[in-house]
Amino acid sequence: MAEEILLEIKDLRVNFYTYRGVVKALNGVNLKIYEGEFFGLVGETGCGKSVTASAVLNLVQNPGKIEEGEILFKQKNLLKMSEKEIREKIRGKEITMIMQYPIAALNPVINNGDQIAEALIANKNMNESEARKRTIELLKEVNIPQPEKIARQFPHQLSGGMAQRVMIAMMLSTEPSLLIADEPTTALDVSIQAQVLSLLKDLISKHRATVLLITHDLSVVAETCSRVGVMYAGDMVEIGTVDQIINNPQHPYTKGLIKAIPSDRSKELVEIRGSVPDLVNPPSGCRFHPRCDYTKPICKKEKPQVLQVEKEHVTACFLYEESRNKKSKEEYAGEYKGGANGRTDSA
Amino acid sequence: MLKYVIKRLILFVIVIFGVVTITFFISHVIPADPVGAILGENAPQELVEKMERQLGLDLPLGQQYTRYLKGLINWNFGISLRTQKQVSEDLRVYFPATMELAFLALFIAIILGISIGVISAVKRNQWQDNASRVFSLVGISMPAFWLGLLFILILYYHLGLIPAGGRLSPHISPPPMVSGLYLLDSLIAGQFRTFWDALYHLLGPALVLGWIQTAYICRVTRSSMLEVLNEEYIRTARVKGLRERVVIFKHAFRNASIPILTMIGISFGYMLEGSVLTETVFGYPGLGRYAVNSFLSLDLNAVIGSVTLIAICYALSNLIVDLLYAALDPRIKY
Repeated sequence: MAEEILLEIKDLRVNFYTYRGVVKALNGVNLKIYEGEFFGLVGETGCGKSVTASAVLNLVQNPGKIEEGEILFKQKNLLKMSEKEIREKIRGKEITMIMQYPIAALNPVINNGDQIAEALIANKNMNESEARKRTIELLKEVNIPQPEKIARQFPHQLSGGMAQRVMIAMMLSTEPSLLIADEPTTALDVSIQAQVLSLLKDLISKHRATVLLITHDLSVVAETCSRVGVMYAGDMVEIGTVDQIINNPQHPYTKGLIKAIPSDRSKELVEIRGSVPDLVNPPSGCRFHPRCDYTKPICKKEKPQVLQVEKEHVTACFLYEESRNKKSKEEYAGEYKGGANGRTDSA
Repeated sequence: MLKYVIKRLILFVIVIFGVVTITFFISHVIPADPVGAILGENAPQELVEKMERQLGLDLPLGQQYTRYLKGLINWNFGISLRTQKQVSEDLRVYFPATMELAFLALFIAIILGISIGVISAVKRNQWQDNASRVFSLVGISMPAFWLGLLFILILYYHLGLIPAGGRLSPHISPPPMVSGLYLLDSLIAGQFRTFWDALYHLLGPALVLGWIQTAYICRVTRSSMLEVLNEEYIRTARVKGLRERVVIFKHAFRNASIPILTMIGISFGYMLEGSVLTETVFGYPGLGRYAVNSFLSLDLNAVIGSVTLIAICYALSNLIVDLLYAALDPRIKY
């Protein structure tokens, strides 16, 4: 791809040291996000989506610890930066984040306007009156009626949708390069979800920001994202364009997720059997094997390698490896019979 | 808001009425004989009867009660049997002394308690936190009189850092009476030597009272801050790239302050109550010691006067705390 890589996560491991034991929350996650794209990160609750987001801002909360890996943002490793450096140069300026529960994410004792203005004063070198003026403009930009009134009000006086708009205004106010949206619509009413998503999409294209959208809802991804990463229990199991993931999923977990999207009212809902494993004692080998319909002996022993399916499409599954080998064998056999020029899969 | 204040003031009057009624009946039904206490056991019968008439003790209890309530409305508690002065006059002398002590102790407790509590929460489970836990555990566990005795033994007897007792050194005369608070009055009169001497005398009892309340305020601050620091909006503040100091004081502390304020209100009540022991141990001439001495000599008018005054202060401090909630948290509306 010609586009520049904005964020690259390499082999990121995060553990949480709890009384019950060490929770291996991220088990070597790899991820690339290109400049200007809308990247979706999907998976069940507890699969490590939000931890990945926190790690990018170096805000993994106690007792969590980033064990190893690299987070390259504009070619600089964020994990090598000091807390001061990351606070002064990255948070609020280059990378910001909107959260799942907008009302809880706004400070209840500071009025909405001041909370936005504060971000501007801290990151944009504005004085108070400039920041206030800009705040009103920003609130208008996120389609808030009567912005002056809303700016004077407090978060508890807002509806969920309104509060999320205030959050979006706050987090885009400093024109960051990367916006992490951690389940931005999950806590909202269905009718508001679509509004907030389309607003977010419009604003992102206007501000030319890149988005890392975290969600458990594949339909949200299908609507908004260009590329998707599917996570399961701390592993990245498949990455591809939305088209590749939806129409040609390779990993059994991705297939299961797509099947589980309710489509026809007359049909029974399909589910992936079992539940998310306890990450204190994660399953051996491929972490998905206890729930997989196609488990082979090797799945229990080894962690599958990341394999290229097509350009931009990778998956980590033995099943794919096998089917590809079979395919290439057949092709090889065909070649042998026909005697045509050799053409093998470019792995 | 105004409606709420009026409602609270009505409640306030009811509370005070309850307190004075209970104190009156308790002090009149106890099997004690104030007249005997004044005149001695072998006093002649006529003298005892004359004294009882003088004090109104010969009247039926109901009449005594209405007489007492009438007096109370005019802030008249009668004459103290022990000091032979109007109780209200005595209160005017002793009450400011206790207020001065309580305010200074409260000041110490708020400053120390909040700062230690915040540090303790921010440095959770590190040595600062552990040290503050030991400090507050000592403060909470030590009885005030014992802590007071230790202070006298170490700071007065061994180190000579604090005076033995009283409000002022013998060679210094009290400042002209304005508020009755020596610290304030001496500043008004420009008598700085008197100011320092008064402060010097307050230090011992104020530290003892303050330490105990510091401990409580510190514990509440710590737990309240820990809770708030886990909130989503603290994360938001950090994501915005704010400095940690701003995150803690602007975003976390104000949200954590409501339980702290409640504790401070309660602390103020404890100060008035704790002053009874502390003032006795330090020989500080305040309301606490006045009340104790009145109890011991069965000086019922003085007892009722002191208790009523302390109850009013307690109820007022609670009212102020409740009103401050609304100022701190926009979600609270009256």
